[in-house]
Amino acid sequence: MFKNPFNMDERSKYIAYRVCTVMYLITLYALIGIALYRQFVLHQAVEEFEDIAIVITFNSICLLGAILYFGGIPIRKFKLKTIIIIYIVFVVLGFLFTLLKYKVLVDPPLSMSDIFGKLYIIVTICGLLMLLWIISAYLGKQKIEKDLE
Amino acid sequence: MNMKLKLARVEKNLSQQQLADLTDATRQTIGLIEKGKYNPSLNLCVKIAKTLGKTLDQLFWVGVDDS
Repeated sequence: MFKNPFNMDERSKYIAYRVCTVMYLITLYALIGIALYRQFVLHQAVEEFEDIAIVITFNSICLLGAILYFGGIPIRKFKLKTIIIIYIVFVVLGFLFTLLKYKVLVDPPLSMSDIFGKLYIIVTICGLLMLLWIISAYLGKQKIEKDLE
Repeated sequence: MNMKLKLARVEKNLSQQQLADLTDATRQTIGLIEKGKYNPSLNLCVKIAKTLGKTLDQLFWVGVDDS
């Protein structure tokens, strides 16, 4: 009888998953490094590495969405207060990053009024991301509850 | 080291490879379980116990005397 030479048992699958996870993270960090290098060392225009930026963004958003959907981060209850606090933290971090980018890293730096003008973009993007993650977590929770019935 | 598992396997005249084939595992996995260097899933524990004709307690329970 033909025996599959790649008959993986639970231990080998576990090792393969762990290696894949580590390699995925290394790839993601390498892509971030490449994007930063191109932008701030080679001074390339954003359009020249837009493809890399899209891959990084799509991957990061989907990664968190998938973790929430499959219950990697267990959520007991959706508390409005917690959601608002996380949202504010995201907006603050986004604003700090924008401030760093346009005040320190870009030459000539933008004025504070121009930077504050970009705040509505940060607020909208953070809001959309939070919405996507909340929907993912909610659907994942519903799925688990359905499986338990 | 899981001596109980090793003794039960030897009692049944099975090699590590034979036990691995009967439980859909690899020889390395069985070897590591016997050495206490890998914690098998409950599914694999049940398969091993059934194959060796023992209960989970008899093979995997760690009592005061064992530790």
